[in-house]
Amino acid sequence: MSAAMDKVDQMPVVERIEDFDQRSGNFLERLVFNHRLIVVALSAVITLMLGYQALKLQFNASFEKMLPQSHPYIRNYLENKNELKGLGNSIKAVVENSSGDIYDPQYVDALRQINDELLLTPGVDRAWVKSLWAPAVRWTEVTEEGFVGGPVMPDNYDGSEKTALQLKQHIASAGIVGSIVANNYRSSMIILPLLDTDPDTGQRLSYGKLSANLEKIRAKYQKGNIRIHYIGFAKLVGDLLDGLKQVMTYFLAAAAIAALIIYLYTRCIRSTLLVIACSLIALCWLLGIIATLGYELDPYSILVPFLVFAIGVSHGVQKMNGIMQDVGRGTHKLVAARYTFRRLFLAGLTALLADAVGFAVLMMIDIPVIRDLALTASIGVAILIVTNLLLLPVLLSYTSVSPASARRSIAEEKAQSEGKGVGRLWGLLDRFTERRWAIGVIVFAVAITGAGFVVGLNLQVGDLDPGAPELRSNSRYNKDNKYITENYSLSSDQFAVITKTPAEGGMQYESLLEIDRLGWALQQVPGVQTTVSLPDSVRRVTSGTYEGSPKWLTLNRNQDVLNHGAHESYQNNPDLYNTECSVVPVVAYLSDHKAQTLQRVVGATEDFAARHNTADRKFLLAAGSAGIEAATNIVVKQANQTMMLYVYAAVIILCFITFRDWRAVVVAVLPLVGTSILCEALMVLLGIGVKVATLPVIALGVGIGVDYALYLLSVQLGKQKQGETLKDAYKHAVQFTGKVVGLVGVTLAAGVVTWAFSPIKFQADMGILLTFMFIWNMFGALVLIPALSHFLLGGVAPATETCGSAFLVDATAPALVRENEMAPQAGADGG
Amino acid sequence: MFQQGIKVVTLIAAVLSAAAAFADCTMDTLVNLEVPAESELRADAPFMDVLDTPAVITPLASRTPLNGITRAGKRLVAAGARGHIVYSDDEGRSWKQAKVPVSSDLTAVHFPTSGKGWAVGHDGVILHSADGGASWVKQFDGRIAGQVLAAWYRDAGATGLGAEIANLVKQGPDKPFLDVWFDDETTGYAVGAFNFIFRTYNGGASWEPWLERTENPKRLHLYAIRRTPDGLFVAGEQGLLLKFDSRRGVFAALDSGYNGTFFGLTGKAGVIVAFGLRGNAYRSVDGGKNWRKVETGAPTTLTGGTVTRGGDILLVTLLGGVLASHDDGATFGALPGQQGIPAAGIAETQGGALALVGMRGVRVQAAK
Repeated sequence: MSAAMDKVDQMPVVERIEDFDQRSGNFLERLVFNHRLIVVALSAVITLMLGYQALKLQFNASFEKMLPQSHPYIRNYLENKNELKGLGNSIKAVVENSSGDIYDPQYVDALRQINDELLLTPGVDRAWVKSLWAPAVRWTEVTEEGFVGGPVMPDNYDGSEKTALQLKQHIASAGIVGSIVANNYRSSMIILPLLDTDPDTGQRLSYGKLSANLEKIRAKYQKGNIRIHYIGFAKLVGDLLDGLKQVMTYFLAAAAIAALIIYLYTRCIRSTLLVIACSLIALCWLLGIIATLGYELDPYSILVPFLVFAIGVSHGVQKMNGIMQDVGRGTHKLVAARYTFRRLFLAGLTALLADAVGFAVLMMIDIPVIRDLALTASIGVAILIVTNLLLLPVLLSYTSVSPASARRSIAEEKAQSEGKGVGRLWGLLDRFTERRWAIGVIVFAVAITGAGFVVGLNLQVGDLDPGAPELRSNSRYNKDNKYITENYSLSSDQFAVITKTPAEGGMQYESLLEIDRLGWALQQVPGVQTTVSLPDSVRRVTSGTYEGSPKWLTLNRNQDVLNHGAHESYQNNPDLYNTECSVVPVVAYLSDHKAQTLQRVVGATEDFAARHNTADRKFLLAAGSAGIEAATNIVVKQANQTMMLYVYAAVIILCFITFRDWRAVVVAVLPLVGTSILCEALMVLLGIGVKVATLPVIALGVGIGVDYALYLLSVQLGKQKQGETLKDAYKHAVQFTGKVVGLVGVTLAAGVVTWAFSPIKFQADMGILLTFMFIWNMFGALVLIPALSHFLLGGVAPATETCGSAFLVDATAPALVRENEMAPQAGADGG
Repeated sequence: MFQQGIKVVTLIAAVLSAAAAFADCTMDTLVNLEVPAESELRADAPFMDVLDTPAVITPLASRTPLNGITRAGKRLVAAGARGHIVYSDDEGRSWKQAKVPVSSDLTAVHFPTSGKGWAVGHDGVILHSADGGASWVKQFDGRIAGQVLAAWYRDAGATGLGAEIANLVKQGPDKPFLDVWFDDETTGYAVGAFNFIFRTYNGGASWEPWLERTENPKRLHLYAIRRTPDGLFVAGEQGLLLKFDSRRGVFAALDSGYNGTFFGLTGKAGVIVAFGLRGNAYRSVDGGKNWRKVETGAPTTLTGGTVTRGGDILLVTLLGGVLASHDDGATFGALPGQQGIPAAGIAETQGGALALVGMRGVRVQAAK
């Protein structure tokens, strides 16, 4: 009746190659299979070339690429970034005495050694280092004669009681408790501002190297009572890079799991190796192309190779399966390879394109890491078309498969169709087309989805854990961060508002007063612990100028007083404004970076800006870790909704093109919706908020998840249109494609499940959620499709015209339908 | 088959590009909705002077910088930064914030009676409350001071002050008052930086400048003014001590023997203590004629003081410590208590506890 059936007729068993018509098959097939050596040689050359390129691939954990570039807040940040150098680009090293206080002579000595060594670390801006041993950290006191003071560390410090007492007094009068010295006097901080470029090499400072140097110093000095804690943006990036490299090694595990799955499926070492090899070649090309295009691997795009590999393996196994059948029946290996190509190329192409839908929708998110991920994944999928749809069959035509496995495959096939062995399990699935079971499973699904929906109502936006959200809460970095925020006065969640004025405008009375008012307005917001900005410092300097009188903690109207205050402040803390005093940040230190907290701060700031902005003085959001996160949250929240909308729109259109029947679309899409809802519930239960990393999960989970329905429903509908009852049609669909659905689900899950162990928190979150979506979608498809079909597709009549169904059957899964089952019907039908 | 394949590819491509285009424009619209474009923001908001901006009512008022504290009958009243005035009727356990018409930083507060009180601060501001500190009106500020000074010294025909007054008027309202004292509900004084001193005899309805009535040729800051049974004293920069000489109608200079700054004064019948920089305190037991240094044992600046009903003299240090003297200021000993938070003033509560104000607002501790 259809092209598919005709094709089956055209694939007789051909034992000798001489009996095969080399001119048969379409143009592409002839092009590839009649020039096999050229194809293999060409692939080898490309592999070598791109493999060489791939060696140049760089790792990068640039935070800028994780920012939503066109959001106004981020634009403000990027425009003023160079003027906000002080905002975070320093390393804070805290040296702790775990069994005593900082006055312990042994501690002071260890601190000196650590201080000296950190000072010499390349990239550290030595002139501005602050610590108990830094001459720049001074104590001052107003005396009758004026200011007296000196370095906090007494010049003649020798560990004696006398000099220790001096140190104690200096610390008290320097007012550094809470900043340089911990509130409990058990640790002190070394603040290391960083240069942008490495003075030795003249190149951009490598955070990876810096981080490694810091770890060396930690390893060397952390013994006995001495503990060292590090925090700082550069250290975080360094730790992310380390995590990136660690995750890369997980690839071995993912590959091993994939190999095991293939082997269990085929029981043929030769073909297992071949599938893995072809998928690895795809990766080689992918990495080579990424490197050639000048892209780098970041914590997001590192995940693409995993996905591409998993998708490649699942397609490879399908090829393998086809060839095994043919070889098992006695067909010559080259002919078997060509038959497989004929049957599967288009199906594979369609499935890969369906995957591409998921990736392509990601392109619309205005966050470079996600766009890069979408782009590299699309390239990867395109490469798979060549390596796993073309090259793999060609290679198989040389190697063939092991005869034993081929025979086994035929036997298993038979057993399954007769409902024996493992086939019995698959056979149970068609029960779900019966009313009783269908109602049961639908009620169950509705109940669990409803519960999921209720739980999912609590879904948060943004990161919920304290510390650096990129890393796990029990990571070294976050433990250090916790220690430091607990023992020092300022939290690590900074929300900075950028005050912009003409040059020197920032220290004018009106500006200082308005900045001070903003600070005060922000302090009113729940979740803001304190704010730091130039006016606070000017107040302190003014008070100091008037002999420390607290009554002079004020912003005096006298501009000379203010200028003096601003200049003095700059000497002590150059982060308070830029060199020309046209950019003045107001930094709010937050108790956490939960979305609600950020929202409140954003709201208060927007409100203030609307009422106080003038042509010459603008309050711009936002910088600082929390400011950037606030912008990201806003974009992610919108993107999450639009993503859902578009990915479902795309999937619905794809299903409609394939099925030409709205009821079938409903049957295919409803299980996905259920999974999406449950995925949100899972996020709530696991404490994962909607964030940059969960966007790809939604797109991929749905985009790839629909493959299952495409496989199952296309066969089922085809069979129904041939006149079979729903039950029989579904039974056949499961027989033909059930294993493939299972295999795709398991291999995809195997590809991503290893991420769950990543030290990078968002990768772990992605791994867990994607694994859930791949697996749950698989079960959803196998169980819910028959149940929903009972109600929606029970009455599908045999087709009267062939155009639609021919397209349908040809385009997707029919190739999975093998001739031994098809032959009788095809014969009756076509003949 | 191949053609059909192409059909699928084309269709998918078309769908995707349409979706992407739609997505792009929707995203833009959404982003634009979220944040109004600059042009949509309201035109320049006029800058509001602190003298015209009421203090923000905030629960933080009792936890952020306060400079002065006093008793208004049984009530405690404290004043500080950003126009904050707070009061407590329960021994300092809970605080209410008063309505204040300015957001200038306030430096001192004094209640001669339980109902009427005055607070002073930066920008030359003088505030008055007639309801025990719950609400305040502005009686005077630096802008008025300029007019008053110009008019007064023209009318008074005072000589030698012309250039100085012209300068003061030109500099605008940048001179702070640093302390306030009222003998009763009608007569009071406000003193401040650069020899600023004003007096009222009508409860603040009008204020007259007394700049020429101080023996303060260097125009040193006047940090404190107090009356003890021995007289009306002023303390200031560089060891400046003045006592009102009612016969001559001027604040006459006293010789303290000290060249550092005095930040405060306290005393009772027969004893007056001036204190300031680096733990320095000087005592006079003869109405200010002779001053002796008192060893306080504190290395840090003394910022505030009071005399308890029991007759103890108490001083607070900039680090928040409290020194107490049971022998009329001859010797001082440190009271136990939390240190480290800068303090600016102290008052005894109705129940005999100590209320300290400073950088982190108000804190109450036991007197012993």
